[in-house]
Amino acid sequence: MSDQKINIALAGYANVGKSVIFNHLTGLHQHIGNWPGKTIEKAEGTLHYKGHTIDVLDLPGIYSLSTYSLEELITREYIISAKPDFIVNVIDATNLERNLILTLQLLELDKPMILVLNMVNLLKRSGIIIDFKKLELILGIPVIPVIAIQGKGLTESLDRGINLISQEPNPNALPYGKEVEDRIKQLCQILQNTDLPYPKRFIAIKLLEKDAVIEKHLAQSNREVLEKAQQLNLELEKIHGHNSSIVIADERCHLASQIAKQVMTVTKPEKISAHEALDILTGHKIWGYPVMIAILGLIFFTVFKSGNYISSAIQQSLSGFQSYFYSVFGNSVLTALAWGGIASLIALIEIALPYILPFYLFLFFLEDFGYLARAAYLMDHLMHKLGIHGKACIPLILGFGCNVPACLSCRIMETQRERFITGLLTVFIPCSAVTVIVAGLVGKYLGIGWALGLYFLVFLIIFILGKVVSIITPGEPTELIMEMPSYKFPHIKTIALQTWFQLKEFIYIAAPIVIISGIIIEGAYWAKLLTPVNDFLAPITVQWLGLPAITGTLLIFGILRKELILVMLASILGTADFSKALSQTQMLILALVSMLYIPCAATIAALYKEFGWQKALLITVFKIALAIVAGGLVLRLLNVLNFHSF
Amino acid sequence: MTKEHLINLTSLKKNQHAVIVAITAGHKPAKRLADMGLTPNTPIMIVRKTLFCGTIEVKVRGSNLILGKSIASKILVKKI
Ligand SMILES: Nc1nc2c(ncn2[C@@H]2O[C@H](COP(=O)(O)OP(=O)(O)OP(=O)(O)O)[C@@H](O)[C@H]2O)c(=O)[nH]1
Ligand SMILES: [Mg+2]
Repeated sequence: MSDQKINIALAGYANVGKSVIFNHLTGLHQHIGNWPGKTIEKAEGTLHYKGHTIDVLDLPGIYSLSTYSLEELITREYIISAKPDFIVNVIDATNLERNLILTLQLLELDKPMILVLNMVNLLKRSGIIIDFKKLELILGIPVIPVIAIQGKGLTESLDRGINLISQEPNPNALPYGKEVEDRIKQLCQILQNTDLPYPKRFIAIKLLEKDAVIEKHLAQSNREVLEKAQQLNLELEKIHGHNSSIVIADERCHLASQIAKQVMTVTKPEKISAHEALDILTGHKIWGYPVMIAILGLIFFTVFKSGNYISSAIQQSLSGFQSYFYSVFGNSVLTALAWGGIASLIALIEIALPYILPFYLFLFFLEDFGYLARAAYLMDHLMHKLGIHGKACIPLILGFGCNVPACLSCRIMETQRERFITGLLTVFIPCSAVTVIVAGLVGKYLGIGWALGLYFLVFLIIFILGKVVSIITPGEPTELIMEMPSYKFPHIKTIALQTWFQLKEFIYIAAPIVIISGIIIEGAYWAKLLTPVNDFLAPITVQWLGLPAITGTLLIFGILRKELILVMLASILGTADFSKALSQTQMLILALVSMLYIPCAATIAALYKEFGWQKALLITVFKIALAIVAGGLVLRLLNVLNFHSF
Repeated sequence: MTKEHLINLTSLKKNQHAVIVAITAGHKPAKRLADMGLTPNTPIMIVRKTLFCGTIEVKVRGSNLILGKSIASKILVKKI
């Protein structure tokens, strides 16, 4: 059976390593990290393996096949409509019992399935021993221990999955309690041909669970089944004293727990591991907060310091390049244009890269280590004051890297309202490109204290904004229910790879934009087009914000990418010594305006995708207005306080 | 079991063990909790709490979950 096309779907709880496996198999790079809810949309990739072409489907993590959230409904339908030849149910071996609850539901779909028991390298640390063979015997499907992060066990998984295709699916029957099983049978008997793509038993169980989507579907064709189901539900509720949907869930939990007990032994490790100690400290009800501030402080301090150092070093080594360039190629409009492009590229390497790369390294480390979930836990209380809950911290922290993925990850919030508030606040978080501006201007020339002061001001604005928005868009925040991942020491390769993708984005996206912008500015300068643009914006930039006129052009280019503001300034000045063009006050104001004003083009696109054009436009206009007002006010405040400027 | 023995999760202290008796939340959150393995008769342990009785981290069926204050106050338990 060579050269056969095979479809497989990765399904399982959130944060069990599905995307790590997907990336490994397909060579693609889905977002991975140690918090639940990263994959928000299905992703597809292909793999050629032993003469087969395998289409792999990565799905968002789900906690059940019932229709609690839109994501779960979509995922359920994908698992069916993608017609996988076999389902790869990925589970976290350190969390066997709860993961099995979903496994039992997936088995009800009656598809060929393999169970990938991932993260077995973490079992020893938690003192857990699992009898894989026994689990396989009980479930009747292949069970494969895997260490996804090292790629171990994946080929065996594929082999055993492919073997399944030619066989009839033959998992063991895992019956629920008698009174539930009886009712499932009764429903199955009267279920006529439905055009639902699910097996009868699955539909019957979902009816007992009061699954709204299935009920609606059967409302026309199978009225009597629905009525029967209602009657059976009432009977179950009478016996158990709670809602029949809970009765079924409880049955499943019970079964999962029985299975786990048979295959798993847990011995509590005697001494606490380093991971646990760190967990206790970073999640401590008092110490957790200073630790959080210290972590963020350390990141900014290190990035500012090392960035300044590297940036100056590059600057020095490239300082004579401009005169060399002109001496070789002569002085003409064409060489000037070319130089415009080259100078911008140099400025990008000189100014942006030294800050952005170390920053991402830190951020990826925190994300992969599992710190974001601790932040969510610690900040839940504060976030409730903004009408959202702790999970919102995750997009907010991701926003420090780049607002675009941060906006997309707002989908971990449950309701539309919470997503919007979180998204709105997220685009106010200064991203790494803005950090470049703050570090390169304020951090370098005024000192780190002033830079941190600017961050503090922006956080204050975010808090007030959240407060106001939560009042004008009323609604109770949903309850916070979130899995707390254990700390995992990140795989260095993963972090290196993630940072490399960031660098690649720089090479393929930022560099061309910067070069073209440099040429355009140089050309506009020669064509004397800059002055009218600057003059047009002068009432705001010069008169209200007290900035040099050229900032008008810079702020327009900044819409493409924020770092362009500084990069283009350096390219126009012919030097990265900004003190030649800007006073200290001007540096502060320019940095503040850059932090607040319009989201960059990619972020606007992300906002549009997630929230529609009206809200995207609203946020954009609001940010511009806020930047202008805040910039002007701070300038006047500094003047009143007689801020020493030279 | 008499009613007096029932307390809600927020009034447990760190490291205390209990058994879930009932969940008085609305249908959706109750179903979500049940899907995640929090059903009646499930043992539950408080791992830690934030200040001011805020958010709670619990251990259920061998792994940890964080629960906001309002949902935690709707989980009725009895101490063991
Ligand atoms: N130690 C260890 N960590 C692993 C292993 N597999 C995955 N991880 C880590 O587990 C975390 C989650 O992995 P993902 O692949 O992002 O999980 P996912 O299932 O796609 O999660 P969602 O998209 O959020 O549903 C990451 O931090 C991985 O580095 C493993 O075998 N061993
Ligand atoms: Mg994923």
